[in-house]
This record gives sequence, C-alpha cells and structure tokens, in this order.
Amino acid sequence: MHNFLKVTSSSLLLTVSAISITSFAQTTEPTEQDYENNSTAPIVSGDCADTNCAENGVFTQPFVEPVVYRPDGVRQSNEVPINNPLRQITRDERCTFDEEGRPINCKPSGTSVAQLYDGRILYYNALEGTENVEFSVFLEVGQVVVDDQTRVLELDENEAKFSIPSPVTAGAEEPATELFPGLTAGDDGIKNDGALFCSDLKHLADGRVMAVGGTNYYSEPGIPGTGFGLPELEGLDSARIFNPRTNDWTQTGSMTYGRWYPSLTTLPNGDMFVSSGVTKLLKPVYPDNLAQSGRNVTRTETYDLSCGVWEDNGGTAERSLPLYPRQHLLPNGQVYYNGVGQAFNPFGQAYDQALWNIVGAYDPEAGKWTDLGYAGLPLRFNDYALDEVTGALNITNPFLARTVKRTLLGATGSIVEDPLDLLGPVARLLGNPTDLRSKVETALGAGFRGSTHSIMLPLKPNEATGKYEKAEFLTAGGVMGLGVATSPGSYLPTNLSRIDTVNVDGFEMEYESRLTGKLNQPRWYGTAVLLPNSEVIVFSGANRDEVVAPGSGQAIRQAELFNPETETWRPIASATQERTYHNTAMLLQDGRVLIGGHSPINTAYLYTINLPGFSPNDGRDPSFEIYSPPYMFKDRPEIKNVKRNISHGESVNVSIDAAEGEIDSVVLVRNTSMTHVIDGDQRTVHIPISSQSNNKLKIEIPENKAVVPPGPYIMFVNKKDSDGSIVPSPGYQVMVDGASFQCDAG
Amino acid sequence: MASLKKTIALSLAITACAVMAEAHGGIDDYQIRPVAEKTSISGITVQAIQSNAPQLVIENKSGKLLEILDDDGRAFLRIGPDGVEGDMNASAFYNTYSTAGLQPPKNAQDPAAKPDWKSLSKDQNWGWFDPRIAETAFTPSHSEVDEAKTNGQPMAVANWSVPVRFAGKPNSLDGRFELSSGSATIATASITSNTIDGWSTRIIPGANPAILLKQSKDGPKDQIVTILGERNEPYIQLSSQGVSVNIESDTWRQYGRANGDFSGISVNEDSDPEWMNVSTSSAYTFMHPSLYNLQSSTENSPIGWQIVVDVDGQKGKIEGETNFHTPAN
Repeated sequence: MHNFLKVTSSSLLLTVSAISITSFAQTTEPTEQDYENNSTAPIVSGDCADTNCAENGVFTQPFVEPVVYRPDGVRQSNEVPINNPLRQITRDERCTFDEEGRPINCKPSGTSVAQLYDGRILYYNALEGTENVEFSVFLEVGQVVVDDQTRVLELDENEAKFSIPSPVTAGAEEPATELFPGLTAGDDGIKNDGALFCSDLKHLADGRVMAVGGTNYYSEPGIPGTGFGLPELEGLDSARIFNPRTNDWTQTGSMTYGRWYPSLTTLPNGDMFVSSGVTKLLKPVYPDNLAQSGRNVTRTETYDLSCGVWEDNGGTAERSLPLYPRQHLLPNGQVYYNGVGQAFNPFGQAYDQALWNIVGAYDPEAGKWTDLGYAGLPLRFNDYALDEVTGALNITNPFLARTVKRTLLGATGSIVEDPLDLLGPVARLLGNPTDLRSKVETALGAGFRGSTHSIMLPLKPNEATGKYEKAEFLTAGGVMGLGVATSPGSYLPTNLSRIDTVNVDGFEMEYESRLTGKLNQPRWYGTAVLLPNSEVIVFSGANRDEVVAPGSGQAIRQAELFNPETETWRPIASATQERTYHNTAMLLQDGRVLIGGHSPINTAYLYTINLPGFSPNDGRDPSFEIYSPPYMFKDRPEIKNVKRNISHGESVNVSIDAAEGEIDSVVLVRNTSMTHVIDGDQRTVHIPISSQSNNKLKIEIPENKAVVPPGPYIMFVNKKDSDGSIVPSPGYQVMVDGASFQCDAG
Repeated sequence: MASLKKTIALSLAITACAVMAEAHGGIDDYQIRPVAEKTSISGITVQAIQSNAPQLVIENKSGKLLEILDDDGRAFLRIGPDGVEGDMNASAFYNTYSTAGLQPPKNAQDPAAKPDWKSLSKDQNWGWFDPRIAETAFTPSHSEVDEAKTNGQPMAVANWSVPVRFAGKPNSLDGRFELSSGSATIATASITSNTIDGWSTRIIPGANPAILLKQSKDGPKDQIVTILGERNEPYIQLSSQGVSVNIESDTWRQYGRANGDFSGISVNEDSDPEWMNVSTSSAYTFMHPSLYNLQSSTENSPIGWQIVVDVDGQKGKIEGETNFHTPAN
C-alpha cells in the first residue's frame, strides 16, 4: 500500500500549485446555555415536483445542529506548534475559529447511530479534532485527535432538536495503559485516551445502549528495541452504557483485551458477544504475546448482562477475523460470520488472513466454531452465475463457447462446491486449472469482501414446521481480494451482489450462496437498510476505496433499491450531501430512513491536498438527511394499539386500521445500532398471525429467543397494495423481554 | 524453542506485510529494505523502521545535541536534552516530514534563509522519512536481483549514510540496503491430489494460503483423519464427530488458530498427543507450514508440496503445487 500512496501523493503534490487561505473572524465559543437556546433545526421536505417520489422516494434537505459546542474545547497543547501555510481549512459553518481562522471546535458527525426505544436518536462522532492537523493526519493523530462527542437527536416531521448527554464524550478517559513493562500510554495530557471512535454499539435488552472498545490515541514514546516517535491508535478495553432515561453515560466492566473495530452481537439470553478488533492498529506487535502479533484479537469475550462483567471465552473460542467482522445471530443461537469485514491496517493484515475467507458459526454454549464454507461457495448456480462464468472464460473458439454454454446451462439450479466441476471434461480445454479456478471464483465474487454491508434478510418461519430454519444475508459491493492477497483487496469496488443462506436444523448447519442482479454501479462502503417491506436500500459510499487512497474517489449520492422478489437492484433518489467514509443509515420508527455521517481521512493522508472533482478534503459532515421510501407516498395501514412489553411465546393482540384481511404480514424490526457499515443485531422477523378480524390481529411471538433476542423492536404491519407492492404501517415501539438481570455470580 | 516460535510468528507477519504492501503498488520482483548499523555515538540509538515508508528514528540519551543535516550540510532537525526542534526555513524539514514529503513554503525554498527553529517535541526522540534511506534511493542490478533470488536470503547490496553533527562535530548515521526477492511475487497454491476418500479439500487463498478439509455428506462416519505437522507429529484430527487439535504439536503452537492459551509455553516433543476439541463439525480450515517458505525458482515453474495424513492408521497425503507469478501492474 505504501508504494501506491507514495506514487499517488507525490504526483498529487505537484498538482497543488495555488491554495488560498480564507480569512476568518474569531468566533465566540458558545456556552451550554447558548446551545440549549439554539438547539432546534428546521427540516425541509424534499420536493416531489421534480422527481417521482412514489417510484424513487425522496430526501429531505440536509439539516444540522445549529450551534458548535464542546464544553472543554478540542484544541489541545499541540507539541507541533507549526502553522502549515498550505493547509486546507474546513468549512466555516461547521466549526468555530480562532483569530487566525483556524478551527477550534467542529460539530460532531453522526458516524455511529442508535434508534433509542423512546424515539430519539443517539449518535456520536469520529476522528474528532482532525481539523487541527497541520500536515499529516497520519503523523499527528496522536497529538491532535481527541475524544469524540455524543449527541441525542429528537425528530418530528418539521424539526430536529439536539441535546447533549453527560458526559459529552461518554467519559472513558482511562488510566494509563501499560504497553510494555514500564512504558505506558495515555499519560500525555491530551484528552484522547477514551475516544468512542471505532467502538461498536448495541442495544441492551432493557433499551440502554452499550458502546464497546474505541480508541486511545498517542505518540509512542521511544524505547530501545521498538519503533518510536510514531503515532498509535490503541484499541480500548472499555465498555460504557448510555441510559436514555437519564441521558447519562456510565462505565461498566472492561474487557480483557483492548479492541479497535470490534463486533458485537446480542445472544439469546441478552448477553453480548464480542469478537475481533485490534489492540494496536499501526504496529500490532506484542512482545509478551507473539502469537497475537501481526493479527487482530482472536480471543472472544461475552458480556454478562446481569453482572456487568466480561468473560474470556477461552482458547477454543478464538478465531482470526477481519476488523468489524459482519456477524449475526442464527435461529439456532449461534453467531454467524459472513466473510465480510474491514481490512485496512496500513502495514498489512493478519498473517493468517486466509482464514477470513471462511464463513463460520460460533456456538456460545460450547465455545467452539464451525467452518461452514468458503465465502460464496458452494454456489447455487443460477442465470446470474451463468453470465458471470461465461463472461470470465471469454472463450474465442465458437465451438468451444457453445459447448461450455450448453454444459453450464445444464447445471442451472444445481449446487456446486467447485465451479470448475461444472465444466467437466471441457475444463481441460480452457487452460491452466489453477488460473481458471481463480478467474471463475473472482468472477463469482467468492471469498472475503471488505468495506461493505451484510444484511440479514427477513427471518420467516417454515410454513410446514412453524420453525425458523433459514437465515439469508445480502452482500453487495465492497472490495474483493486481489488474487491471493485477500485483503485489503482491490482498490476498486465491485458491483457483484450475492445472498448467502444458512439452513439450520438444531446444531446442523448448511451453507450455500447465490448471485443476484448486480448493483448498477460498483460501490465502496455503502450502508444498507432493510425496510419493513423486505426491500433493501443501499446509501452513500464511493467509487474507490477511500481508505487506501483517500480523496481519490468520487462519492455516490444516488441510492439503489433491492427488490427481494426479482433479486435485482435499481437506482432511486439521490441525497444532497456526499458521504463516503463513516457514513450511516438507519430505519426510523415512522418507516423513513435517517442518513448521516461522513468523516473522511484527509486526501492522501495529508492536509495540503485537494483534488478538484474528487472527494473534497473538507473534513467531517455533521448534517443529516431523511429519506422517504416510495411506500411513504401510498395509503398505509396503521397500528392503533399494542402492548409495549411483550414476551417470548406470548399471543399478542394488535389493534390496526386496515381493511378486513388486508394485512399481509407483521414484522418486528430490531432497533438499529450501527457504525462502520455494521449492525450485528440487525434483523427483521416475520411474526405469525394466528387470527385477523375487524381491525384486530392476534400474533404469536416466537418462543425461540435466538429468533427474537430480548430488546427493543419496532413493530410494523404490512399490507399488499393493489399494484402488488408491500406497504408498511408506521412503526410502533415495543420491548421484547426475556433477559435476566439477576446476577448469579458468587 | 521459544525463540524459534517468535521468529516464525514475526516472519510470517512480516511476509504478509510485505506481500500486502506490494499488492497495492507497483509490483517488482525484489524488495529493498534499509537497515541501520549500530552507531558508535554513545547514548544514541538509531533504527531504520518500516512504517508506511522507511523511516529513521532516533533516540538521544547522550545529553548532547545531535543535528541531522541535509545533503548540503544544513541542519534541519535538532535532537537534544531539551527536546526536538525543526528548522522551519529548511526545505529538508518539509521533504522528510511525511512519506511523500510536503511542499516547502516559499520561505523554505531559499537555501540561504536563516534558520527558524521551532520546538517539535519535548522528548528526546524523533522519526522522519529520510529520502536517503528510501527504497528508491538504490536500484539493484539484474545480476544482484538474480543472486538474491538464488540465495533466497536478504543480501546487503549498498550502504547509506546520513550526515549529522554530534556535540558540534561531524559524524554520520550509517546503514545498508538489503535486497531480497520473492516477496514481490504472488504465489498461487493449488491441490493436485487428495488421497483421503470421502473428504474434499480446497485451497483458501491468502498471502499464506490455508486448506479447508471437509467431510463429504456420504463420507465414512467412523473414519479418523489426522493431519501431521512439520515434524510428522499429530497436528489436527478430524472425524464426523468433530475436530481436535494436538496442543503438544509445535506446528499447532506456531500455526494453530487458537493458540492464545499456549503462547510462550514450550512444547514437550516427547509427549503423547494431547487432544483439544475445537469444533463439533467435520470441516476445518488450517494453515500448514508445508505451504510456506517455498523458494521460487523461475516463474511458472511450480513447486510441489505435500501434507502427510493418517487415515485410520494408513498414510495418505494431500499434494499440491505453488506457482509464482509476477502479476501485471
């Protein structure tokens, strides 16, 4: 990677000939009272006059918190007191500035978001303080980046109200961490030892939100035998909990391992499973534990919800995984890893990263993993796969081409472990089998995929057994491996889209994959949202990997919608703002989608470069937009009343406003809590309807807690419209209980 | 034994890093790495380390001032008891500040400009990207590259020197460039034969490939397949009942997926296998040393390897080959 960066940034440097520096007047730092008095922003609806809203949906105009506020100020005692005359200055409306026109504080961006059960939204920032970098974010990160701020956002149709939790940075400024014997980090006097950036967040069973891991920034001091004078981002072992009732953050038990980019998944009993993350991002070498050096944290841990403590799951529960591994809870209670994650440590990846290609499932009871297959294989061979394979083979001999096509056509519908097997005796006519296999598997998008989403499609009970026996996962776009180098992979994203299926029968699991229609444009870092009607929309992202070469890509503002019936994607409306790295998207209770985030790395990791026409080097975007899907413009059913707290196995009455027999389905959608294109608890569950009459439904909540893990859910009722489309009601917040809060530990 | 494990663990990591670094850049068939010689200046520690580019890092505990000079003898960095200072009017300060260098401001483009020293750090150490140790500072000849390929080991091919002043007297920081080959090529492994009936095998690609061994649906239920390790010791055992690993296998300790419990604990080579069940399924993906550290000879000339297995007391094997390519840029 460094070669690429070097070439790119060197050549870019030459193109920067004239950079103007805008003059700024000093702005007065607002007080908390100023903030409270100016905490509301208007939301301006999108205009359906220029677009077909019923077909493509529409975005509101961007809205942003009105006042810049940080109680303790961001700017720190910078030990590099040099003003870079070539520096790009961030946009003025986002920050306050000193008399030299340099930013002091900037508004936080919604790079991590959670839909609270009370209807409000919790969000927090990423890379706070990067506006104070003078030369290179890479070199100065330990000196200028500080703990990220949090916010609570309250929405109604016309207005957004912002408020500040306490403490605003979630309060994980920890005691110094011992890096090596006698050497500590976190004692440099800068408030950047407990940043929320790069934590994962999840709802607890009682509706509180837990944020786990994060970043301790520092410059590694010099000791003989190690590198020194270099910045480091150390993964935190902290876990903190936000309570919506009090708007307070508190600390809970710490993990054994510091984790930067970990993944959380709620277990059936409400406990929380954490995997991966890295303890030291830039130099993952640990003299006291060499087996862990050069790779991410392989140990997994489980948070005991009742006792508030983490337990190491032991040696058999270890697994080498990418950062932020995309994982989901299967209906049999096992945690599934879908072969997708983040992979961009600048100096290479895990020495055993080949293992990241393997989709697998973790059994929390046994503390063991099951390998299910090579991501994307076995493959259910369909027309999309046929097109990809024949295209990849690019056979010029007409006779051979016909023979291959005929052979492949005959395989349609079958499941293949090795695509080369499909070709049978014809394969030997096509050249080196190793090259051929690599070519075909690449065309099919097999193997690990980075920087994209894994959406669990709706869980539906088997009509015959009534049991939930199948889970499916949609992955589209992202970056794939380059030949043998599985990660961080290609600089260019793919447009391939696939659905992975795990059939479960108790502990038995079978994995298979199939291709769907392609995205209309390749997309890196697209955030996907599963709507209550089973459609999926992917938002934001870029057409280049903005971590490998930040600033060299172009943002993708146009969303795409996945039709679950045809398994195809189509372009829909476009957002106003460009949101590339650290963008977010989240289903709201009323069925709309909140779009936010954008906290990019400076172009080429430097503060002196801006490439016209490409992703601007203008810092974080604190704004939000709200997208209204096409169903918002249709006649929607309505939930009039349902009890707020429901239990597993319970029959629940739902009062609705809908015509007799009109309701097609009832779904529970887990409240979103997402960051970095990942929500390990994302799920929509179809709930059986046992009776329907006179505006009343009786539904049967599954007994299986692995299907509906305890916690907050939004209930929607769906009706089938006259055009065949599924139209959901506005949502209704419920809590599914089932977690124990009685600590049994002696 | 512990040191062997450390060496392998780190070399694996470094190998992966090297391959990954090349994956995004121009791919050559050699790699140049600067190495710092131990300096004779008392109290000074110097290292040439690889971060996102080769970087010189200095620690000065001598209590005296060390000045780093550019090619014209002008100091641009001072590392002393009071901390680190940079000359804001020296173009070399900007050229060495980041991997690609920064464009010096106008006042730093005049070589005769008066020094403007600014404090950079209160510590006595600093790191900078000195172009005199960059890999582009030296281009090996074809014969040197060929020799490195033949040797299969890094070889010193040139020296570098960075002029300094220590306590006011001229001195230098010195080192060498080491040339190695192979890391810039891509290795593609494939399985050519598998004698384990009822079990499928698949190469899992990666800088260090792995193998997925999976029992077929109609595979024999009572069969036990034992993968042997580097010293033919039992390494991993699979059956329809699940997967176990021998925690007394040195191969497991070095390449196993779940070795955190045993890091730093020596293996007793004479002990009987001690099996630990790690999965209840009959599929497992593992790394095996037979696939690594292969010496490439010429491109498109595959090197064979084999993994020995024991199937219910009968020896079998998984055979494969690794091909080395220089991918197109």
